[in-house]
Amino acid sequence: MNPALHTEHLTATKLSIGYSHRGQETCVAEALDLALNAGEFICLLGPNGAGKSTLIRTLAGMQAPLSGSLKLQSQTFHSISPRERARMISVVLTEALPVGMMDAYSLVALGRHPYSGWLGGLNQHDKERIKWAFKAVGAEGLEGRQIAELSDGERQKISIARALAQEAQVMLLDEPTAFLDLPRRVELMTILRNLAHREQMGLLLSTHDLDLALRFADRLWMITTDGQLIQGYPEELAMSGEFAAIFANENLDWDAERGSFRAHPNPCLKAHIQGDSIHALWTRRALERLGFGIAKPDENSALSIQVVELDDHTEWAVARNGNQATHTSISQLIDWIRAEDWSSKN
Amino acid sequence: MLMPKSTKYIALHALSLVAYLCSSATPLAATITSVPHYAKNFELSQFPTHRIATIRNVQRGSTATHQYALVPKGAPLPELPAGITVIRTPVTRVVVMETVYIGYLDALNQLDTIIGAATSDYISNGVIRALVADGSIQKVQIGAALNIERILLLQPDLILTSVTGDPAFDIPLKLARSGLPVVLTAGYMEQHPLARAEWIKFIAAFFDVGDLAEQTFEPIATRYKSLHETVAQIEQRPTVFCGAPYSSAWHMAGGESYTAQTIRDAGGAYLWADVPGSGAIPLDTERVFLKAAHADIWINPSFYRSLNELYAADPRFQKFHAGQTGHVFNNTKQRTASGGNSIWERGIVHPDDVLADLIKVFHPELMPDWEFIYYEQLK
Amino acid sequence: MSTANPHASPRRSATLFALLGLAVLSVAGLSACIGSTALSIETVFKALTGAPDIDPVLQQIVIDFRLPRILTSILAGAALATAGLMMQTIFRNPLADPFVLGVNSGASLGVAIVLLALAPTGLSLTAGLGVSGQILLILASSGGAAITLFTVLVLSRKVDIMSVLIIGLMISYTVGALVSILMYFSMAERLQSFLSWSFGDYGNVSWTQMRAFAPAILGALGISLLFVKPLDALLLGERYAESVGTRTQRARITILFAASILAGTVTGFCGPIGFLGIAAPHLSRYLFHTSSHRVLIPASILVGALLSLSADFIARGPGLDVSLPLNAITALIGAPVIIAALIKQRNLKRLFG
Repeated sequence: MNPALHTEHLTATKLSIGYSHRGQETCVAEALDLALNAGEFICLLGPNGAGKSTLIRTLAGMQAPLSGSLKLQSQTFHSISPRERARMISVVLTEALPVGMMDAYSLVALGRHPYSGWLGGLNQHDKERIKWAFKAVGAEGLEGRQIAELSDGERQKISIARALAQEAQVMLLDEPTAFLDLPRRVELMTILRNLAHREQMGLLLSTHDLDLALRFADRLWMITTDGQLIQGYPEELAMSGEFAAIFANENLDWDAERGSFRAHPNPCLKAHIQGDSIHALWTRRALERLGFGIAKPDENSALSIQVVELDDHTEWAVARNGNQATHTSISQLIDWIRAEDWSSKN
Repeated sequence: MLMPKSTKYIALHALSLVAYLCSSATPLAATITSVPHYAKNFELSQFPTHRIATIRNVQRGSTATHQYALVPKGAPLPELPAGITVIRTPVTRVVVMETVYIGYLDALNQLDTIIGAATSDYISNGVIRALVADGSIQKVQIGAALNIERILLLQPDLILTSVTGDPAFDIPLKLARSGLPVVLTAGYMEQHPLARAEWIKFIAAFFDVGDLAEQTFEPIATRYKSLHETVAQIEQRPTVFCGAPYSSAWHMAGGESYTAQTIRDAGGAYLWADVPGSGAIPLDTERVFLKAAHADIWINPSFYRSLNELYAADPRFQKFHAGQTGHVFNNTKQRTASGGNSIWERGIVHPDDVLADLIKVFHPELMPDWEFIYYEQLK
Repeated sequence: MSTANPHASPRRSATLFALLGLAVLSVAGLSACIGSTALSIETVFKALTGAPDIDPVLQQIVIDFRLPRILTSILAGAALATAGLMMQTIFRNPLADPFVLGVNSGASLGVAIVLLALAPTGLSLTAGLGVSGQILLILASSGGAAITLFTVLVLSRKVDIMSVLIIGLMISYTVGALVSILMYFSMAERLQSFLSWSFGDYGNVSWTQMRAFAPAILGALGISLLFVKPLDALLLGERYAESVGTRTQRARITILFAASILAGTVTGFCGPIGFLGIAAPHLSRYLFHTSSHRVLIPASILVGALLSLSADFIARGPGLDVSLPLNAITALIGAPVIIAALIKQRNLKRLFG
């Protein structure tokens, strides 16, 4: 952690982003003041259509901003030649790499374009950098493989390796984990965060994966549908109700306790659950999934469950309408709940 | 003494039988079939009431014969073979689909019967060109686009054409439904110049000017033969080749073609004379050069009229001996700006003039006072 | 450390290049010996060095006919192959050929106007200018190609690359339709002449004309080599190419321009020649197993030259007394080559993702 030096790699002042079509401008977000600092891993969140991709493309220089200024290492963005810019900022997009007949090494080597001569020859430093890129994403051994033969996760790693080979201090990623399974996503987030910290890079990544963003990001940027950008630490935003404000709708509730969303609870029946163990936690979740509400200690409930941890097993003691029963596994409990007739009055 | 009734009866029948036999024997009565001396592809048969013209060899490889019945106008239709095309003679409204017929019609003084023409750019005859220009003669075909309606409106009583086997250009197929009087000719398939000229007799039959045709043709044939005699014995013949490449495909006339025949008759030694076939041989410049690099005379190089044009087309033409010595001759003296050339109109009817020109090319010492009509030397 | 791909080792590439070079020289030598008459390699050598005991006709045949033809064949093959490769990359389409922007149709229209529409007046035009019909033909076809290219480029400034392809194809069809109309109204002899041109031929480029032909081709090939990196980057698509520092707009225009110079020059001097532009790049990819243009451009040059020489050799009818149309032979060679290369690759989709 380097609190002393806050080098700003990429700054935007009063940036308005959007697109113009035949003279008509559609503004997606305006008057943004942003800074991407060294060593920071920032996640960009927002509902679909809010403008995450537009922001990434504008910051990458692929799309012109409607107004405002953009600076890379204190130089005006568009005054830098594309070759110079490519040495300072690299991009990874959602779409899979659009080339099949190329081996991974050659593809990553493309990342050295901003440095190589006009024939694309690689010198010692280039080769070292490429090797490092492979290592950094954990893709050693994939060098000789054809792109078409790689799995989605491997392809995405190669794509990131290419961006790394550019030796840029800023990397922008537009939903790079969109097509990956959970373990791969976690792996990628870990790699990226470590990269940002170790290499003092400024990393901006847009994602829909709220959970992972909360766990890995150093800071969050959130775009709202009305073009606002909210910045802050993940926990700050989680507790402040910003999430609720941005994402909640009539079907979704932000549960600040759990740090996740849940479908709008509409329980007509409530259950008491006693217990602190992990089994108790998952019992609560099962009951919520089955449509029950969790009753507070002083509330009435249709059902009462006590989760007892014994030496070698767990027991669920269920009391309903004065009747008692004991279940020895959560499956039993759930089967029993599902079989019961809950339409009768308590 | 009275004849018995039965004998009279028999005699009457016998008489009527003889009368019947005599009348039905009339079609078997002697016809005069005139077979031309040089032309191989037509015959004219004279019957009391009509004439039959027979054509063969209308296109390469064809074994079919075509017949036309020429019946005088106003006369009743005689018995004719089924399906035969009938042309009422003499014709007065003629459509010519190729320019060669203009040559024949000019010699027969029948130019004023022409009411429609195709490929009008290629017409060389000044009178006809003027009539086309002012609309008195209608254009009935441009390229492959045949204007059938226009032909129908003209109501011709004769349409002269020939076929090549190419359905895009052959009009008889296109006019099959129209009932128009189309007559095929096979003059272009004749390989001897006099044969082509003799077709004047075929054309004349439609205009009832057969005598004029005879009178015109005989002197031509005589002169041709006497000119041919002057070179026939000469041993020293200049070597000759002809043509020019169309963007590198050099089609050389075959040894049995019209061009080869004219060269032979004029006392030249055609380098490809021993290659059989009357069509063109597809070669390229290199192959021609191999054989003709040292040839004495080069004739008919496409449309080039000056040595500069020739060399500009391909500088390698200068390497030919004939090119270096300037012995290049083309039949373009009468060529019009739009591509017409009277060698293919009047020249067909008067092959003796063409022969004279060629003899002057190959053996100039034999024709000191002759002036080129169709040929010019490239300078 | 270097590429671990066993298929694309530098040593293998070097060997392949050497073999290809040898093959080109062999077929060139064969072409010099065989034609309207068979000459021994000794004769050819004597002709080239000007030995005193050579028959001047044979010497002229070698120097004025066969040598320029061989050179034209090599240059044309190299030009079409490189143009085809660049088109396939920039449009990310394995079926793209050098003429996909309508260059061929434009050239045909120019030639059709000269041969079919202007013919009678056009020729007297050229006689007056002292310019031959041949030169007029070259000017007309190159001019037609240039105008078509210009139109396509102007129309496609603001659209994405896929639209450029479609615009090019549409212009191609439109111009082709105009040529059809001209052909319909033409006489049989002129059509024959036009048809002759459309068969394609390497034998028309004299040494004088070579002074214009060779520099144009070599110049455009040089430009192509300068754009090896942008071509590689464009394989990733224009977006990614921008992000690694390629000036895509400039690259797009220059590459299309160079490809069209190559294609237009060949068409102008030799007539439309098909299939080499598609077959040679595919064959190169298959042989060298790479998408890198640093290898593919030289490879395509050699493979294109080889295919071109072979097609011309066959078209000149060795052993027969006649010659065959070049375009037909390039198709007969090119189509099986493409099919074989594709079958070996098994999945064409993999080429461009």
